[in-house]
Amino acid sequence: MNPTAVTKPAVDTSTAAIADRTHTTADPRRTVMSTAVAVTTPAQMNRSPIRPQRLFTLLTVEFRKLIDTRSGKAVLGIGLAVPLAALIWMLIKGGADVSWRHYSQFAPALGMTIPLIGLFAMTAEWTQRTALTTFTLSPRRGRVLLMKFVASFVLAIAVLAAVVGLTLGATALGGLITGETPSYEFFAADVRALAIITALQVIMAAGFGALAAQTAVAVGAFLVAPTLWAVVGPLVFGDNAQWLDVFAAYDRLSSGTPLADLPQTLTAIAVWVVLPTTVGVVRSLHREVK
Amino acid sequence: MITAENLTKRYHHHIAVDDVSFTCEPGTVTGFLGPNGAGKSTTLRMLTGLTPPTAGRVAIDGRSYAELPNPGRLVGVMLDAAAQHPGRTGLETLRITARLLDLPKDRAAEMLERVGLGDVGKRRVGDYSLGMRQRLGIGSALIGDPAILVLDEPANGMDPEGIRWMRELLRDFASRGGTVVLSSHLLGEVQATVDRLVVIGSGRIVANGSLEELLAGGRTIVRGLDQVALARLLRGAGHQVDVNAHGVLSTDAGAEQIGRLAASSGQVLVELRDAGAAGLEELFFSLTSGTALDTQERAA
Repeated sequence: MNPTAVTKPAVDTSTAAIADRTHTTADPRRTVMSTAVAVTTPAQMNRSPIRPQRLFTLLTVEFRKLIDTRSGKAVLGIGLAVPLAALIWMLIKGGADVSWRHYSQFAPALGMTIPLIGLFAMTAEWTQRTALTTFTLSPRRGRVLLMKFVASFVLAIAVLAAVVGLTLGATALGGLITGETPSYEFFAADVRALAIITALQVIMAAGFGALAAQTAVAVGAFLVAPTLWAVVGPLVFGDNAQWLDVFAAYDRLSSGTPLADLPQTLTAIAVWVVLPTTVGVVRSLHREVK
Repeated sequence: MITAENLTKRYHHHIAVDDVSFTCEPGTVTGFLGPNGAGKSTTLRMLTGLTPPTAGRVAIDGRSYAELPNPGRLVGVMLDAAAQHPGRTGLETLRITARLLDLPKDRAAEMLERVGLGDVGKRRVGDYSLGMRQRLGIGSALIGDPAILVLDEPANGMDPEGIRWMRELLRDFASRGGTVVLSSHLLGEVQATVDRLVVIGSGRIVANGSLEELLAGGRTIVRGLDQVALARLLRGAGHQVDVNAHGVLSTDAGAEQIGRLAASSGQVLVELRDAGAAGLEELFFSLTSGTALDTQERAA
């Protein structure tokens, strides 16, 4: 047992010196005799200069985190598989109505499922406690949260685009099968409506996620609370309830007359989308990570 | 180099960390030792910018943590090995970190090999044992080739082989000029690894110094056939004597003095040794006494 002599490199603690510091190559012999023994470690390979994290890097990382976990893949898979199954079923069932409107009748349900992507993006950090790592690697939390919103938004719109593509394909295929000429009436208006609702819903879902930080609570609140208001609100407040009916607001915004009842629309959006998102982001910025 | 000055963290009426100051120099391993709930983790979270201090400040190479351009490249952090997404594979976990730190793609696989997880990189972290998660956490901390390591209870859940591996890794890191801060609630665990010890209890530093300083308490442990007579003899000679719960005497007299005194009065000694870590152990146990952990720690 021959303890390896270790030459301590001159230590300069300035950041610049650390970026290009050199290490003595350790003797590959593995000994455990005393603490003054060097242990085999690979030569230090990382010599690139230290740059601040770019927003684009954060975006790609957050985007990747949406889909690289089992739950992320499940949400994505369900978001694509359910419409696919519905389309296949409709094709098998056949029928004379070969139109975009007919084949896209399941599409409004997407407004509930796809936005969960954004919700999980927020809550996973806290329920799985990965925030410990995320916010030590990126202490400027605001940038991380912003990129979570952007990544969720991009992914939700991408899923929506894929589903729209599948539906178009199914419509065309239905035309081939039945020999009818497929009708694409309302296509542009429907896609516009779906895009608006999905976009608002994904922000609302991520906002609820940031606010509650617990997946179960956030999913429950996101799926139940607005529906509950839509049902119970009118019973208690009559017509005034529409000021806070976010689904009615979505419908108006995505209709042919988006500016109708604008004050009510904006109030509902402010209360259900802007408020939870703002409070959720502020809370997430200051929430202590444990 | 880490400098903490008068760090204090208050939650409502509870003071988790109370006026804690210390420095961690390059080339050293500093151990934070204290019972669970003593404020170790809160202190480490304040070092890494996760918890804002109520008072006091921390500087990493003269800057606050949040000011570092890409902190993972200077400070490798593992605060809780269990805080990894169970649905992500080990390899993917490191790939994400590598990407954030602006590192070449293949660093993730290399690091996985280096921490001994090369064969299980494709498995989900949810299937990892705690020891494997510790290795993965160490990999995440090391991947940016940092100059400073901050590790909270790194040996937790590791088998003896893993603990030895970690010890060598940290010693090697420090010997190359790195700065290491780690925490532990087990004295035996840190004793073989650290150069400096910061003992913390109820949020306050109760001992702070080099391991040698703290271990060399200057006291001697002595046991004879007649402990009562032996204690009287030593006290009679002007020495200070403590009797612990097991009847073992601890005194400030030197071994030779005790031997001469015993010989001159015909006392038979059956044990005579330098107290060494015993003094530190006493201090440490006095912090934990009265808690359920006490017995566990004695057993460990």
